[in-house]
Amino acid sequence: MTSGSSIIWCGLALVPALGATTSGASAQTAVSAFATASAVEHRVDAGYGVDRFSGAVLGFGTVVRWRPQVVTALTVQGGTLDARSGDHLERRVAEAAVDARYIVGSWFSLTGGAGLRSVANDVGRQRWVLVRFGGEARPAFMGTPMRAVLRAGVIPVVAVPGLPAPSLALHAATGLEYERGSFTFRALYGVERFDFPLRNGTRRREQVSALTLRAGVRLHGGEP
Amino acid sequence: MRWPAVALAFAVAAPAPIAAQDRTAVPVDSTAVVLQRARDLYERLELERALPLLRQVVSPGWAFEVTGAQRVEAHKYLGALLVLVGQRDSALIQFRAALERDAFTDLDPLQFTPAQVAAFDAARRLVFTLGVRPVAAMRLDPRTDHLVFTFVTTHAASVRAEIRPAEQGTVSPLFAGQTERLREIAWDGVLANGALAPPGRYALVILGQSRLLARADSATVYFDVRQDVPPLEDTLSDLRPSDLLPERTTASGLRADLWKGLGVAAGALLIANVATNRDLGHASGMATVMGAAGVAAGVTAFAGRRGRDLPENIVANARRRAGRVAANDAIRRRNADRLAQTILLITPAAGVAR
Repeated sequence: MTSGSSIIWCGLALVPALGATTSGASAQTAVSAFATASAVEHRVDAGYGVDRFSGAVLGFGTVVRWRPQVVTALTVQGGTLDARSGDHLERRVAEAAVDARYIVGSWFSLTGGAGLRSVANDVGRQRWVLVRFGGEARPAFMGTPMRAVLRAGVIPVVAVPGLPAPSLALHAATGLEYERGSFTFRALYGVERFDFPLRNGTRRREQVSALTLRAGVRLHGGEP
Repeated sequence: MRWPAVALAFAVAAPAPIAAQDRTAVPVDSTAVVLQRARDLYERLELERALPLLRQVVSPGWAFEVTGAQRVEAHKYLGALLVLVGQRDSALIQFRAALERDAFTDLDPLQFTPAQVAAFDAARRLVFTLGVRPVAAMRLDPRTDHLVFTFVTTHAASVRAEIRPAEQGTVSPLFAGQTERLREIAWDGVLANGALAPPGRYALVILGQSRLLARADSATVYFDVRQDVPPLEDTLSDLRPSDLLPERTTASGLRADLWKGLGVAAGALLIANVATNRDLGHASGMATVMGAAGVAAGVTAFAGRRGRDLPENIVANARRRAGRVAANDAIRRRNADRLAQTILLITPAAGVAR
């Protein structure tokens, strides 16, 4: 995957979000803001054994429901992941992502999004461009203002300088969402898996697991 | 006035040759041509030649088709001619025949002599008929326009005019009072109940009672009304049960909630054990936390909530109902504004004026 095609894929992924803005601020527009706190574990095997990094990542963002069926989210987050073994440098992670959700039923949505991720240490910096597609089920509990969240999909675009495109890249998450008045709380466990092809006799594998707590508040309009 | 004397002189001077000449000059010809010829002869005061032509047209033995208007014209000219030749009683009979067929028949004082007009007026008093003109097609904006009906009586009469739906419906009076000769009445498209005339066929019925004679007459003209209304919005349909949230917990719903919670737990375990790369080691801590939360949520939702009210769902349903009512009210207001701009399309219909 070249960086040029990565940009094109990013642009395509942003189409739903940008397209939603053309309708202008309608009466149905709803806006909410949120903050996140994640426990993140990053595992890397570059051919020299599994390296583990973990730590807290904090973030914030906004969710906009442009139309009854179209919801977009902008998320910015960052944090430091400490090496679980002493001979590695800590990693500083930062990410900005735009995701869109198109609701096709009372509890199912198609999702898509793009993100720019930076993974750096004192020696160097790696920039990732990610484009995700998938589906999300959000069935509501009858007895409580709660929803189950089940999400899965692929990451067809993973552009990392110096690395080939992965042979397998997917994401999956599950969790619960609770709404109380204008506030929304969510706990989500998610995984991103990247299996890179064999190169120079080594096969690189990376995996990011996160348990994320998110609290949001509705700023404008109805149900976010 | 020397008209009768001149006419009589012509008639006495050469009756036979002219009649013979007319017989040869009136071949198999249509009524219109004969009438035109008679009018021309009348204008040239060749009365003795015009007279047999007009008598032919009104006689039962006339072989050609005669329209109502042609017959009326023939009677009128025949009456006028008879006045000129001094046969006033016969003239009155012809004028009456014309008026009985068409109450709108009239003599133009600029074209006919005062004696003829006086005879015609006398005939008016001897016969009582009503006539109404057919409705002309038009677009009627009820806010600014009027549909004008024109009717006539041969002499003074008490008249009542009303609009009746061709089928059943409310009768809307338009006019009631004394009138004589021509009269116009205007209608703005609104019926007696205050509503705009709905689409359909209508009749303007005029009932008259002579003030000179013990006679009554009526006339009817039909017309169709269509409404040109800007497109209206449909109101929102009633909320179906599937559009509303359950307002009380049910056993099946609670079981579904339990499965949802267990589904979250199963999803967490599936992600930790299937979606992850085993080569990177097993990682179940986060999945366990999420799985436990899922089980707790499912069990909590399931246990001990059977038959309970769901206040949030009740509120949400009330909100949906109120939203629907508000939306429908807004739609009705917009539709009412559009209906106020309705244009009536008037067209004449079968069943014509007498």
